[in-house]
Amino acid sequence: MLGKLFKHEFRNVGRMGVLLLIVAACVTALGALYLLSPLFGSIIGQRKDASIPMSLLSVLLGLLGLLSYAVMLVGISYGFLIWLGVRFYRSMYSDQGYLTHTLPVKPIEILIAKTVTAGVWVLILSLAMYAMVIFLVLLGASRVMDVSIAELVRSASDTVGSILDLIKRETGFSFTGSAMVFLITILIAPFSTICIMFGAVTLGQYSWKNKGLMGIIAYIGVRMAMNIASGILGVGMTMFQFSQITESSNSLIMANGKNLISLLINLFFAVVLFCWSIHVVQNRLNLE
Amino acid sequence: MSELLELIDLTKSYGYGINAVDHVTVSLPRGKIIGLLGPNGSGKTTMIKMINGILRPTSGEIRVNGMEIGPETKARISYLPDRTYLAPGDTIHTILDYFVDFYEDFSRDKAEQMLADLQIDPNAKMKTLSKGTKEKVQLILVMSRQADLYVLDEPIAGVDPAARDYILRTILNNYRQDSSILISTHLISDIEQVLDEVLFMRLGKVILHTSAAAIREQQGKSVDAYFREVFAC
Repeated sequence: MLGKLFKHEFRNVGRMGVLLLIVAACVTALGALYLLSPLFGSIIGQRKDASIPMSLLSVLLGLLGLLSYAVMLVGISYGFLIWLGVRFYRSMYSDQGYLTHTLPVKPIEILIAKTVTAGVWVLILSLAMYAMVIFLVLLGASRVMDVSIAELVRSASDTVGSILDLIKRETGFSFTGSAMVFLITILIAPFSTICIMFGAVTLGQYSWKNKGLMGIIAYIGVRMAMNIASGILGVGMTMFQFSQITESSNSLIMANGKNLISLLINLFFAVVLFCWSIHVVQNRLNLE
Repeated sequence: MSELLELIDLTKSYGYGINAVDHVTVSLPRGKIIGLLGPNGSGKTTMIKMINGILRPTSGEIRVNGMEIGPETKARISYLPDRTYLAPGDTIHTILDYFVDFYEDFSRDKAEQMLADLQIDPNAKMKTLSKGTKEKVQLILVMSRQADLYVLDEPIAGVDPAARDYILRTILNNYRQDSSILISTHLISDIEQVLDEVLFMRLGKVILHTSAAAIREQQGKSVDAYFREVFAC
């Protein structure tokens, strides 16, 4: 039955996910066309586009375009998360919950299917948007520097590699750990975010009235608790690192530690809220 | 063989000092159509929701085929709630796929035949249907299953009198003789002729559980007339 739940969840969530991917891809394509246009060439002062005069207006338009693009990506990310939260509430705790909770499946299966599907789609959308931004940055930079993207990537890799080597030589700090934490964060963050959001929505079920509103308040409360925990543990870690400071210690190590703490707190809250959600759906479900 | 449905000292309290369902103990046999009758606020819907596992009892037990409420009992109960529970953006066709996947006892052919009888387009989205048509679609989904127990909460409340006959015929023609139907309704006169047993509820308690025939013989009146007498304001 879990497979069937996944099938229907992926189909339903996928419709919105694919739509947003198409929107993001279309806007990215427009951005790419702009970067390849003579207008952008005139802004960056390329000789072959010198016939088109650069004006303040064209620069402002370019900046406005970049800003709009950034706002659109942020809007898609947060809009998708909000849509997932509302969809979860509707399918679990509103009238549609009457169908969801009378399916011949275990409550944990319902929660796993919804959480994993939402997490996977958030991850897909995030990775796609990272790729789109990187592509646009590389395209813009290649035009500004008048080199091919392949050359740019090669030279950027060499430069970054040299800088990292220098930092390691001078401070003893290796970026391998940071890269691992960053990679794990990227992979796990969508799932922990979904667990926390769905868990908060489920906590709203403890209220007799205005359960949706209580879910939102619970989410804000959980986020505040996470920030407080993060702050306290961050200060504790900083003090500990100062006491252990050696020649090879530096602020980079501390930053890495804070990222790790943030990841662990996210994971802790996600696991706790997921287990709590299972408990509520199994033992305290009270649909109006 | 055990009773199909057993409620043992079942209570649901909402925390205001009043029990919506108050220490109800009742057993329902197989192969019967049972009317769950009572005025508004008597606890009918609360009891039905607990039987279907979407409301947790404060105390007491519910057993279906001797099993506690869970995936196994949900696979054997076909439930029609008193509200539209299908996603407005889904087409009927998609919903049929859903039921085929999750309910082994669901007959797609039967559902499509009933949709055709009522001239409902399977490609229509739920949000484009009238309230009455939505209710018909839900009833079709419920009655296209070969369940042990059908639980119908106000199945004919939102439809016109002409459609009521079709719905009642649908109910009668589509359940197995060894399965039971529990129908909650205010429109007693419309369903009276099909009822085998009745449960009268008042203030969360079952105050009468008897056969419809017994009411007619002993009280010398119809179930509807007796209901009006018992619950007269």
